[in-house]
Amino acid sequence: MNPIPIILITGYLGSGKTTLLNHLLSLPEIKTKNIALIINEFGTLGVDGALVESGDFAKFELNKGSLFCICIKTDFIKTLENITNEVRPELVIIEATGVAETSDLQDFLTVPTLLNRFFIQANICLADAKNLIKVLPFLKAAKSQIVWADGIIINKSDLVSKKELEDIQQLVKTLNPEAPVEITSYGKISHEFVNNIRHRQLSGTSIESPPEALFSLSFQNLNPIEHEKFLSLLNIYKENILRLKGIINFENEPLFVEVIHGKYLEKSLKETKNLRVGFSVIAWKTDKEKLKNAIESLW
Amino acid sequence: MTGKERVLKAMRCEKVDRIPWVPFVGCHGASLINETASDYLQSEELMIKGLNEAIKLYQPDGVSVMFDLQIEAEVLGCNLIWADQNPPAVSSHPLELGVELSSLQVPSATDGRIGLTIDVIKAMRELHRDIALYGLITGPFTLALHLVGTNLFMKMFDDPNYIHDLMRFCTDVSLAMSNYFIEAGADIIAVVDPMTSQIGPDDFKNFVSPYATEIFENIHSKKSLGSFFVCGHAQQNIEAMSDCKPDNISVDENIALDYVQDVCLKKGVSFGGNLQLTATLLLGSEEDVQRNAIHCLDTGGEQGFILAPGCDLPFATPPNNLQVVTKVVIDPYQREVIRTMELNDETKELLDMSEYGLMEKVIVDVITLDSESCAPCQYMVESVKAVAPEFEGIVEWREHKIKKAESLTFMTSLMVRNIPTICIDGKISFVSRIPPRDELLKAIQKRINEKLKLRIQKKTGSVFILGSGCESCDKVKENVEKALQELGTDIPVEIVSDESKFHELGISKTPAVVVEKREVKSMGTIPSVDVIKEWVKDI
Repeated sequence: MNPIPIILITGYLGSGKTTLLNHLLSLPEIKTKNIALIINEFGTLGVDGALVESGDFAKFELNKGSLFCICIKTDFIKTLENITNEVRPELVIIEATGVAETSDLQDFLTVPTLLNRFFIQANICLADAKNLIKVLPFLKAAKSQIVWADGIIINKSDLVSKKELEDIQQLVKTLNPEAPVEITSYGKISHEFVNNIRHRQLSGTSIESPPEALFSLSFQNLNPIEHEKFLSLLNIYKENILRLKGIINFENEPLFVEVIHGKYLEKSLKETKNLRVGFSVIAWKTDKEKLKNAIESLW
Repeated sequence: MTGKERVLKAMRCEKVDRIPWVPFVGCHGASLINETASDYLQSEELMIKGLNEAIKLYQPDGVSVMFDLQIEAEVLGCNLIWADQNPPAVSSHPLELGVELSSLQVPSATDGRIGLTIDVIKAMRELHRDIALYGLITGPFTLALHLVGTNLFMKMFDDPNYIHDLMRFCTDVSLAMSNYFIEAGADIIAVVDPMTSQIGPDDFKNFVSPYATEIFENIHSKKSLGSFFVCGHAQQNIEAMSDCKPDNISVDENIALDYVQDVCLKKGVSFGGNLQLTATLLLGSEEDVQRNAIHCLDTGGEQGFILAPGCDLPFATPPNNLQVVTKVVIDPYQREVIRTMELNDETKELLDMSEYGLMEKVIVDVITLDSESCAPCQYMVESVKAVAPEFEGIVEWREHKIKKAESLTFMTSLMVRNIPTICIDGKISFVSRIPPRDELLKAIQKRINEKLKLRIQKKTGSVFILGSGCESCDKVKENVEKALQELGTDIPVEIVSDESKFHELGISKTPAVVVEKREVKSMGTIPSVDVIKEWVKDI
C-alpha cells in the first residue's frame, strides 16, 4: 500500500486555520480527492467542527481540549489507524491545535502501526498578522510551529499597517529562513502554493537553533515617571519596541499608552476599563537585559 | 518497609530499601473492570473497584486516586465532553463567554465530583493503610486556561493584571482542593499543571511561581507532601519549578530523567517519572517495557526517585505490561538479566532448535544469570544437579550462563524470557521457580516416557523370509504370520527368492529369516552432520 500524504495545518487559535481548511476543500484539485479530515482544536468543539463546510469526506475530531499530550497522542494514533484500515483516503488534512508541537505530531507517525503508512506532504503554518507578535513571546508552540513549517501563510494582512506587515515578514524569515511565505487575507491561497511546498525533515534539535528573535517584559511599578523621559526612551528604542501596552503613572496623571509597530497612542483613563498601573513590552533586535535596565531607570 | 513508607521516604530524599513504584491509574482503572472512562470517573463504587484491581495486579507502593484535571473546571462552569477511553475534555471556557471572574466562587467540598473524589480517598485510606495515596488537583495555570481558553496567552501581553487576578482565584481553588484531599487522607498532593510546559521560564516565574509556592507552602503547613506534575516539553521550567518548594517533581518522557535529577537533587527535591506511555506501555512488548523500566531505574537511582509513568496511564494499557514493571522493580535479578541481555543485544541470530531434544538422552538445560552470583540461579542449578544421578546416565544437564554471548543466543533461541529457567529437552518447564525435588523428578520421568513412546511409534520394519519355494519355507512363513497375528501387529512379511539377494543379506543357507528395523530420524529437514553422527552411533 502506498503511503498516504498528509497536509498539516498549524497556527494559533484565531489565525484562520478553519478558513484555510474550507478554502483548500473548495479547490478543484483537492475537492475531487477522497479526503479524511482530522480536527483538533483546544476547547472549541462545535465551533471549528461545525465551521468546516460539509462535503464528501470523513471527519474525525480528536479528544478535544485534552491537556495531556499523551491523550492526544493515543487518540491521534488510534484515529490514523482507523483511517488507514477503514477510510483509505487519498489525502489526509490535519488541523492541529494552536498549542500543539509540530515535532510531536511528526513523531506520532513513527509508531510501528503507522510507520510508512503516511508521509507529510506539507506542513503549513498560519500566522495571524494581527496577533502573532503578541502571542509569540509567550506561547512556545506558536514559535515552534513557525520554525517547523514547510510553508507559512501570513493571514489577515488587511488588518495591519504596512510597517507591521514588514516587521512580521522579517520576523518570520528570521525564525524560518527556508519556508516560502505567502501573504493573504481570508486564507485565500492558490493550489500552486500548496503544491509547491516541499516537506523538510527536521531533527528535534533544529528548534533550538534560531536566535531569540523576540522577547517580552512586564513592569508593575506604581511610582510616577517623567513623561518626557519615557517618550525619549521610546524614541531611542523605536526600532526595537514592536508592542507596548498598559497604564503608566506619569507625574501629572496615569495614562493608558500603546505602541503598535512605531505608532504611539495615549489615552486618558476615562476611556479605558482597566485601571491598574503596569505595562508590557514586546521587543526585538536588542538585548533583553539592556532594555529592561533602561526602562527601570525611568523610575 | 511498607509501600507508603517507601514513597514518603523517597519523596523526602531519604534512604529506601528499593525504588518505589507508583502507577498512575486514572481511566485505566475503568478498563481493568470493563467499564467506560465516563461511567468510571463518575462512580465512587467503580473507582474503588478499579483501584483495588490495579493494586492487586500491580502491587504498587502508591496510587493516584482519580486522574482527571477537569473536576474543578466542571464545577466552575466549563462544559465537558465525556469519552469512553479518555478523561473528559473541556469544551467551553466561561470567562471567554462573558462570565465575570469576580462572580466565580471557590468550590465547596460537595460541589460536582469533588465529594465523590473525597469519598474515594476516604475509602481507599480505610482499605489500604500501607499504600501511599496521591490526591490530584488541577494546577492553577492549567485551571486558568480551562476558564479563559487559549486567549490566556494573548492576555499575558494585553492584560497581565487580569492573568494575575485569574491566577489568584485559581490558586484559592487549588488551596481549597488540597485541604479537602489532605483531610480525606491523601498522603501526597500532586499539583498537576501540564499547561505550564507551554510557557518559558521568565513567564513561569512571573505568572506561576508565586502561586505554586503558596500552594506547596500550604501543603507543608498541613504536614503533608507535595509533588509538582508537569507533562510535555517543560525542560525549560524544571529549575523554576524546583524553586516553588515542592517535595517532588514528576515528569513524562518528553524530558530526560537525568536532567531532572541533576536540577532537583541539588535543591533537595525528589523526582519521579518517566516510563514511556504510548510507545512503550500502551503499544510496546513486555521486553520493551522491561527495558524502559530498567533504564528509568538505572537513571533515577536509589536516592529521591519514584518510578512512575509520565502521566495518566492510557485506558487500554495491557495489564501484562504493567505487571512486568512490578517484577522488574521487586526482583533485582530480573533487572540484571535485562541489563545483560541488552549488553548482548547484537547477538540477534537464532539457532534452529527444531531438532533439539531428539537425542537418546534427556537434556536438562538450566538458563541462569550466573549460579555463582545469583542466589535463585544457584538453587535452581543445585536442584537439577541433585536429581540427575537418579536417572543413571539417561539424563544430562548443563548450565547456560547468559553473561556469555553463546548462552544468550541459546536462551533466545529457546524463547526463554526469564531467569532462571529450566528447559527439559528444549521445552520451557520451570520459570523463575525452583521446582521441588518430586516435581522435577516427575517432569523428567514424563519426558523419558514420552521419548520411549515416540521411539516405539516411530519404529517400523519388515520380516523377510528367504527361501527358494521349498516346503520348509512355507512352514517358516506360516509360523511368522501366526506369531505376528498373536502379537497383533501388522508388520509386512516378504518372501525373498532371488538368490543374488541372499548374498547381499549375508545368507548362505535357506530357509532364513531377516528382520529389518527402520527408525525415522528426520523428515522434511536437512539434518546437520553432527546430528547424523549421533544417529549413526546408535547403529
